Amino acid sequence: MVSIVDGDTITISFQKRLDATNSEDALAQISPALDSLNKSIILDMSELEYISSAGLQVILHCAKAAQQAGSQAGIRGMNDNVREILKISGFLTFLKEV
Amino acid sequence: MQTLEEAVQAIGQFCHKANVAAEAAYRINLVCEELVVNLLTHGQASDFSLSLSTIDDGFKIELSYGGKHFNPVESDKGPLQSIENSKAGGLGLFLVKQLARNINYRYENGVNFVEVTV
Repeated sequence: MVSIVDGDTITISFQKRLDATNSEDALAQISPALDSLNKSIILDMSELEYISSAGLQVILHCAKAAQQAGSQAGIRGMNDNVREILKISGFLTFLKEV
Repeated sequence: MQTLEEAVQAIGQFCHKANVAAEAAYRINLVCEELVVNLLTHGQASDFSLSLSTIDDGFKIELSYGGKHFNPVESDKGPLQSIENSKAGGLGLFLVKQLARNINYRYENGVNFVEVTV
């Protein structure tokens, strides 16, 4: 579902599905890494097959944490379907593709 | 059915059996999830019925549930404009409207019927 690598940036990688059945667990797993954030975040979607509005809330939480910390949040590796959902939801207006 | 997990499993089986292409399967999954989550969160029904079928030029999703008149697609709040303006409630139903080709709602004898074609 989600894995986190803390290096020069924090890379949060999502796998398979991010939906209403697992978004709360994903958020619980990610939240500690977003506390006292002092570096950029990269959201790696290359292994994510499916995202719904519940999953978008997780992405939004990450973007907000970065903004509040004065750092950057980038996104990469979206498949066509995931990209479409993020695009029509307006997320690609504030998440930079890296 | 009573949970989203049951619905997800049934959708997966339907898409597998009907050999549904990935893009259409995504749309079916997303429309069903958003509608089911919405009715379980905001509606009065504790269970629902979900039916999927192949039609000439796509797929039909039929969802029914009891309780008061509850049209899930009456309102949505559009896409997010910015992180600051990010009360994202209603985003799921906005996505349903964007991905569906047609949405019909009716309320008969205490039952809500939602039909979506994708």
